Amino acid sequence: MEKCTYRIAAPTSVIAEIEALVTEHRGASSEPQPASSTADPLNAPISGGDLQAAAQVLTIVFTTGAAGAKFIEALLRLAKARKARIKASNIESKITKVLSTEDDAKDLMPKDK
Amino acid sequence: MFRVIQIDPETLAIHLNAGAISNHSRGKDFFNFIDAAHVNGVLDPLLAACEANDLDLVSFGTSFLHELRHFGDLLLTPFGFYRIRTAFEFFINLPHLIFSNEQIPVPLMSGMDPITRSAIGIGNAFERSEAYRMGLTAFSRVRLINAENHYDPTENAIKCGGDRIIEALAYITQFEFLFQRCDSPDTRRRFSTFFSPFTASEFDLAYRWFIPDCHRMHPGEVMPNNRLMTAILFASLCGSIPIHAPFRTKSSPKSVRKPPVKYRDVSEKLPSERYYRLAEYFKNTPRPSIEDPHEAIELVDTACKNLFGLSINAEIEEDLEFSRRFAKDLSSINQHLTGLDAQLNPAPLFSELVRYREFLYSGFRKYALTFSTAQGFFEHTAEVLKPSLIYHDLAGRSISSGIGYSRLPDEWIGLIDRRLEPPAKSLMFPQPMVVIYASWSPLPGDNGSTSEHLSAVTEPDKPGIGFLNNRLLASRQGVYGILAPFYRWILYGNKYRGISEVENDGLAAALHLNKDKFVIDPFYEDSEDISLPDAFWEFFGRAENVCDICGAAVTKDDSYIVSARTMRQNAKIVEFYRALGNDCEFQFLKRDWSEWLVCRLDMERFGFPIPHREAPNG
Repeated sequence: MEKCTYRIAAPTSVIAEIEALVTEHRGASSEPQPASSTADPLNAPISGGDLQAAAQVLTIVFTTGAAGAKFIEALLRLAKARKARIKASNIESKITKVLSTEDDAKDLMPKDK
Repeated sequence: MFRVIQIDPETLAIHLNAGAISNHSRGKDFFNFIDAAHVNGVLDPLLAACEANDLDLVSFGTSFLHELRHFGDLLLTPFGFYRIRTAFEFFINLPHLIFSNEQIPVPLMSGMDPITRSAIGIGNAFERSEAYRMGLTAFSRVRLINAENHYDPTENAIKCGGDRIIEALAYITQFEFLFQRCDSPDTRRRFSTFFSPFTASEFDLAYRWFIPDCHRMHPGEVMPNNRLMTAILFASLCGSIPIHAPFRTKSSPKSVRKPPVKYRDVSEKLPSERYYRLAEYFKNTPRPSIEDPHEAIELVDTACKNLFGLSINAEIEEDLEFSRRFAKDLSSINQHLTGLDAQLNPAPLFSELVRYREFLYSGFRKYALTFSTAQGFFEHTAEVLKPSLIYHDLAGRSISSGIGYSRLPDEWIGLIDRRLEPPAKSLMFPQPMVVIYASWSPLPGDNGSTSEHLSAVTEPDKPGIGFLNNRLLASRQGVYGILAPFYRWILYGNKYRGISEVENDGLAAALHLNKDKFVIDPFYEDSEDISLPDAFWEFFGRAENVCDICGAAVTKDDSYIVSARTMRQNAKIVEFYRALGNDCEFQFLKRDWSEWLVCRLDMERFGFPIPHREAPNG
C-alpha cells in the first residue's frame, strides 16, 4: 500500500464536488487555493473576450493507491458530466494530464495499489 | 491576455502596452493623448476627440479615464488604500526575506497548507519562518476581501468584493462620459456592450453587475439614473480597516479561524458587506431616480451612519490616520539607506502617496461630488490626477534605438531590461544586446509631486542607471521595477501578471539569488495564459489579421491570444522554432515577449487548449 498524492486544478464551480469525491474515497484534501491571482485585473473593458473563468487548485492525499485509482475514475466522470477542464497531476509518477479520456485516467492512476 | 492600459493596484502606476499602441495606425495620436492628458488633464483631449467624432481616440481616451477612476478610488478610499498598505507592508519586508537563508515556496500560498506544502517538498519547519508569517498576513487580507464574488441567476442577485465595486465605479464613469458628452448612433454602435440591455454576460458580471439592484431601487423605470448607485458603490469602499489589529471575517477559511490572539470582527468594514447592506436598505425603500446628486450622497451618508455608525468622512479620516502612522513607522525603519539599497526602500513612495491622498481628501471633504458622481469625477477629479506612467514594449527594444513614446521626459529609465546572449555564430545578432522591455520617467506632478526637475539622473557618469541618490525616485524605481514584480511572483507565481510577463523572468538571478532558494510549485510555473482575441481585434480594428505562427489570414472567431510564456512552455513550439534555426528561436522565444495571435489550426497542431466563447444569455 502506497500513499498517493494528486494536484488538481479545476473550475471553482466543481471544486465542492471534487471535495465531496475526496471524502467519499477517504482521502484528505488541502484547502482550495486560487489557481491565479484573486485580484481582478482592473483593466478597462474593451470587450467581454478577455475575461476568464476562475479556477482553484487542490492537493489530495490517499493512503492507498486503490483509493486514488477509484478517485481518478470518479473525477473523469465528473469532468465529462460537467464538461469541466480538470488538470490533474500524480505527484509520485510526475504525470500531468487534462482529464478527458479513459487513457488520461489510466496514465494518472497509481502504479502500485 | 491582451491589455492596452492597466493600473497596478499595489503601486498605483499606470502601465501602457506601448508596443501594441505603436503598432496601431493611430499610435502617435494615442501617445499624444497621454501627453496632453498629463499636462492639461484628460477632459480637454477627450472632448476634442468627441467633437471630431474620432471614436478610436474616444475609445482609447475613455479607457484611460477608466484607469484614472481606479487611481482615484484606490488612493482615496479606505479599501483601495488598504490594498496599497498591505502591499507596502510586504514590500518593506521583502528584501529581508529574499536575502535571508530561508527557502521560499512560490507561490507563497502553496506553503501555507500542510498537505500542499508536503506535496511540493517543503518541510513543516516552514511554519516557523518569516515567509510563512508574511504569507499569513498578506493572504488573510487581500484574498478574503476579494473572494466574495457570487452571482445567483435565479434571484438575479450578486454579491461582490471590493475589486468588482472598483470596476463598477470605473465603468459608470466611462459610461456616463459617453452618455452625457459623446452620445450618438455611432457611439452606441462602437460601444455596443455599454449600451445594450443587461444579460448577465461575463462582461455584465464583471463591470455592470449592479444594474439589477439599480432597477429594484428605482422600480418601474426603463433606464434609472446611476446617481444613488454611484454614491452607494463609493460608500461601500469606505470602511476603514485597521492594519495592525488582527481580525477575521465571517467568510474566513479554516486556516485563519484558529485564533492565536483575540480577533476583532471587521466584517462590516468590508466592501461586500457594506454594499449588501446599503443596497438592501435602498431596495427596501424604493424611490424614483434621484435628480439632485447632493441628495444622493446625503441619503447614502445618513444610511452609513445608521447602518455602520460612522459617516463616510469619519471613515476616511480614521483611515488617513492609520496611513499617517504607517508611513511614519515605515520611514523610521529605513531612513538611512543610500545607494542601491535605496531602491529597495518603499517608504518614500508610500509617504508620497499618503500626502497625495490627503490632498485628494481635502477636495472630497469640500465637494463630495468629485467622487460620488461620475460627472464630478471626470470634470474635476480626473483633471488633477497624475499617476506614474510605465511604457512596455514587449517585443524588446534595443537600448540604442531610443525611446519616443512621449515627448515629456528629459530622460528615460529602463525599468525592466535584460542583457541577452545571442546564439553562437548568429548571423542576425552578432553581439550580446541590452533589451528594454519597460521604460519610465518621472514627470513633474506625478503622485502630486511639485518638483520641476524630477528627471535629472543623479549619476551623470552612468546615464540610465537610475536615481540612486534621490531617495524618493530611487524608491519609485525600485518599487516599480523590482519589489512589485517580486511581490506578484512570490504571491502567485506565473499566475498573476500585469501587462508584462518578462518582469519576473530571471528576476532572482538578476539579484544574484541562489536558484535553490525558491521552491516553485509546478502548478504555478505554467502560465497557461490563453484567451479569446476580442480585445485584440477591437483595439486594432483591422479588417484582417494573420496568425503569428503560420501567417494565414484569421478571423476573430478562429483566432486566439496566447501569451509569450505559454508559447515558451510548449515543447512542440520550442521544437518547431529550433528547427527554423537558432536566430529564429532567439528572436521569437527569447527576445520577444509580446502576445501571439494564433489560428485554430495551429492551436490544435501544437496542443493548446482552446477557450470557448460563452453562450449568449437572456
